[in-house]
Amino acid sequence: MEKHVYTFFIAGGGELAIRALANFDRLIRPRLEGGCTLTVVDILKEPRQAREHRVVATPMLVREQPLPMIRILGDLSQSAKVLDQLGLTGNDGDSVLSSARSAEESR
Amino acid sequence: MNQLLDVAPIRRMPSGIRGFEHISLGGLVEGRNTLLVGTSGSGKTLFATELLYRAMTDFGRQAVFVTFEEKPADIVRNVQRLNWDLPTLVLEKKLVILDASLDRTVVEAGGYDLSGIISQITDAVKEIDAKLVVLDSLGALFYQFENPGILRREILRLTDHLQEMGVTSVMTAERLEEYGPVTRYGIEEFVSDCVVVLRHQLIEEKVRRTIQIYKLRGDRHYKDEFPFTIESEGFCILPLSAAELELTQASTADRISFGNAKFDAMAGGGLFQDSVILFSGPTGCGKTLMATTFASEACRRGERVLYLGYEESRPQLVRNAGSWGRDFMKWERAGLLKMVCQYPEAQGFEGHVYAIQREIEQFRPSRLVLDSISALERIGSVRHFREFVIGLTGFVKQQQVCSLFTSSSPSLSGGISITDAHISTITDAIVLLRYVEQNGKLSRGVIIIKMRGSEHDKQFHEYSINNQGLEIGKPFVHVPTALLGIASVS
Repeated sequence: MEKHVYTFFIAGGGELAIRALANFDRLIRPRLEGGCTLTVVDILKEPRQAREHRVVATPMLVREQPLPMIRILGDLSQSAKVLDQLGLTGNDGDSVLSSARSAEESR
Repeated sequence: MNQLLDVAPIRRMPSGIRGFEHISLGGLVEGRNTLLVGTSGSGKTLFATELLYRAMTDFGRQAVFVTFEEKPADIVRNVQRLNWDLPTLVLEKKLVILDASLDRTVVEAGGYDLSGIISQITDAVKEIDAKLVVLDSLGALFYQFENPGILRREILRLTDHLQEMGVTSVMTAERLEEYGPVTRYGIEEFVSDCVVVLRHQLIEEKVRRTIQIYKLRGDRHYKDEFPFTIESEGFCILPLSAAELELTQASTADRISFGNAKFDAMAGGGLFQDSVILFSGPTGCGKTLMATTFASEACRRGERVLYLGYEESRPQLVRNAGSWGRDFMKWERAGLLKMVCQYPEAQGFEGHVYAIQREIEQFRPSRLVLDSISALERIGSVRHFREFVIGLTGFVKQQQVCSLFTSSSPSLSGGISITDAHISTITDAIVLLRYVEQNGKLSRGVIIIKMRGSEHDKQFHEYSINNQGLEIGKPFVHVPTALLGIASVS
């Protein structure tokens, strides 16, 4: 069984971070057989982690395992691009929460 | 309203870059953002790095370098030849380099902001108690990230944040043209309180680098372009025309001897220590003799003199002096005389000014001879030549180095040379040397036509040159055209 290890760098609990984590749960997690390990790093609390991993912009998703390492920037609302990068193209996941929709919800 | 009463006045932070305090009238604006713009290759990164280095080494201020463009290793390597040891400063916790350079593995997929780098900067500033943050360069950010809208908003957020933290910050940004929009993306200048433009242009096959303070919100500064060079010690801005505007050089009433009692009498009791004297005359008329007389007097008194020769070589100068009974070799060995001979074309005006300033600062002479200033005239445009003379004159006066410049007239009969026309208002005293035709025989004449701040003899004196040097004789009578051509005595 392949190991799936991800780190998500976020900055505080703002809209971008919430949307990014929700998109991860809906889009990526269900597609990973055998589940995955996700570490969430709040760089506002642990800025040294941002320096160490050269996180310039957030949210930043890093796939540590399997190799090669993949870094995806943004709230993952561009689902096709995300799945393409991670090689998870299929039709079995939930729909993606886009920034447009979340903007409607927040009203 | 109470908040407004608490507004603190603008404070300035010296940069430590040679000449920058002078042209900015005090340095960077403390606690605010300065934008440094220039085309590719104009020296932005080096300028930014020097700001940082000077802050740490000259003023004991810790600093953070955020690099969006080059790798930290490249930044360290770039300044190694200047002997700026950045790795040691990092170890000593005086410097943090944040690597925000392009990461090609990153793919964008959705909304984001620059919280990553903002929190890294905040953390680094706190870690070492930094006072200065340098960001190089914003243009590279626009290459790294696809969405310029997000970047504009985030750059504003970043600069606001830096200001809230109370640190002074410097951002660099690219321009596409030397004279056009301030920055490529047209946003950065609005977030900055101070905008500095670096330019480099090719003029008559020579590179001319200039710096201009385009904007400095809320305080005075010079608005012109000033030339600069990049030397072995970093930037060197030459505040040439600024020296003229600011006539703050201390003025003394101390008189010193020219080296000839008769000449001192003609000058109303000698030369002023902080003055610049121009000797103008046709070739062979005795300019080098005058310069030698003036230089020898310093050595005779045990004072140092710097002799800059642009027409004759060292051996020629020594031989000339010897024929007039002056032993230049002896004085040079005694450390009283320093002769520096160079072709005018060896470097540009900026290079010459810098070299002369360095010689003066190291040798600390009480007198300077520049023989001849007209030889330098041909290495650049008239405007730059004039700036060069103004800058040099301002410097020697500030340093209280009594200076003698010689200038060659274009023809044997004298007349006003280009040099004279452009620098006569800058020098304090002007002495003309002329051939005089007397009963079919040529003799030489000397007249002081200007002596700032003093009475002086206005007569045209005959002089001769013998193995003891200069001998000034009686005034001529009836010389109708001394200034304009060969004078004939009836």
